[in-house]
Amino acid sequence: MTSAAFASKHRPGGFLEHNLGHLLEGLEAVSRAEAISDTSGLLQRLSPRSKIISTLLLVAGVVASTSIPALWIALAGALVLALASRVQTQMLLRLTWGSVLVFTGAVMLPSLVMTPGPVIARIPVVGWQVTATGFHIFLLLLTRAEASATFLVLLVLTTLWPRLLAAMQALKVPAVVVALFSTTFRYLILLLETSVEMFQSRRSRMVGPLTPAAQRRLLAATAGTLLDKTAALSQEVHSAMQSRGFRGRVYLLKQETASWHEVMPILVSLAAAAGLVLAH
Amino acid sequence: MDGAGGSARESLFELEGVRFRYAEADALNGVCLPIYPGQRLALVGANGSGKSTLLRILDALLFPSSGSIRFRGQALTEERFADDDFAYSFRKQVGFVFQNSDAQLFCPTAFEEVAFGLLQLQRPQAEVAHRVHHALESLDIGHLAHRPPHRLSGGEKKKVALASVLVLEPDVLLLDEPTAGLDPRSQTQLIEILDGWKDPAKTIVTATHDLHMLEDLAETCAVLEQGRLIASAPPAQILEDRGLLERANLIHAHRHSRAPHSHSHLGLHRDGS
Repeated sequence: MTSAAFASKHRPGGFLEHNLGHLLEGLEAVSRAEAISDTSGLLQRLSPRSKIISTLLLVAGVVASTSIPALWIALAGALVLALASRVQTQMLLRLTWGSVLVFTGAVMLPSLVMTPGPVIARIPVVGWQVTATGFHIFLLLLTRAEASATFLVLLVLTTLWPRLLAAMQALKVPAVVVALFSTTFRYLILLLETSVEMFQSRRSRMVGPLTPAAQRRLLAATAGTLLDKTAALSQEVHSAMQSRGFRGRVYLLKQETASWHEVMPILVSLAAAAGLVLAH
Repeated sequence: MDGAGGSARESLFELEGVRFRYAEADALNGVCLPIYPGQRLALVGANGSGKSTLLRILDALLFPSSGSIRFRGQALTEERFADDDFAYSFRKQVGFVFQNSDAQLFCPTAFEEVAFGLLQLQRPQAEVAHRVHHALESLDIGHLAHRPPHRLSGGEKKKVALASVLVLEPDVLLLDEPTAGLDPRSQTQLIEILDGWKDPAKTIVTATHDLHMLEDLAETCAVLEQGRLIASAPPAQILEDRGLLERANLIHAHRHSRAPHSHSHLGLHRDGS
């Protein structure tokens, strides 16, 4: 059952249902991202190595750009790439644009009225003045954040996690960092699955709503149990690693050397980044 | 019942008076056990009898609180394992398949998982790739090579975990509840894989409480009860000794009250039930 179906079928606002819905949503997001990474789209066909470098170049270009129209063009370009890579606009809207708008917007909102400059509007009731400079800065930073986040999300959504890790390693990211990312992702999923099972087993033995105090107790007990399980599992994983020769230093498979066809996306991204920086 | 047979041979592992204490309780209490090269030994006991602790001691993941363990005549102590050469040499020879496959599969793909041990032993990359392909193919899981662990079924996880150890070509294979949680078909496949690993030089030590698989898994059984070794004999002999099995909490009186004539008999414990 999908988390949406689950939410519609069960009592809204129920504590367990609420948490369970979120956990299932997390697992679904992982599945959806893997499904997108595994389809044949434009970005999926590119090598992860060149995608990482290209993304970093584009993000650098976006961050350094002072031209709002150029940033809008970059954002439109990202949208075209998303569509060519079978990433749904709705997904981008939910994963990136909405949350960036909320968080960056909230942080930057005071700049609308606190930056000196010509007044272009007045907020009713409180009478605060919105300045043209403040609005420009607000829009510039918001567009930068949206465009950067979109490029990064596209990288993650169109690259299978193991291939992304392999590419990081090929780009000389230290093996211990790659191993840390790898195990973190692996055990996050495992803990998500464990949490879902714990909440489901609790739900199967409950009738009626929980009082706020009981909800707090349940949450604390769940967190404590998960912490215990995590500690036991980490001990077990360490033993399993030791048993196969791990002595504190990680050795990973070497990745293939770079080929020329990987350079083209990097050159295109470099040109785009330069255009963003030079645009006025 | 005593002796695992073959006492004239030189033992591979020699445990003498091994005790191990966790914070709350004794897990092992004076275990003396020789294990011989080529032996197929099953450590049998109910939950909490000390089987898994004993396997961890055999793999030098834990060290006895008192008593001693020797491998090919050399004492296994924490001090010895501070020496990289000794540790690598031991890890090359002894492989351990954990009960919880999720603990053993920590790499992003099955291929990298199987490669992990060889890489830590610093084998050349070309050799690693070749041996990993061979190991995956020999267990018929080549198609899983690039799949992440969370996309594997329980049986597939167990096979990948087994491949990740067999690829090291160890002389000793330690298996902790290998059939637990597997469906009957996967259990049979696992037994077939282990049968295919038959070699006079290879030793297999299996911890289990699944008495149904005992004769398939081992030619000698060591029965543990509350951290003590209470018997050692061939599986058929152990299985016939109902008193021993009842004492070790491996079987229990099973009552049928709905039958036309109520009666009770001894039933086998399966998978901790």
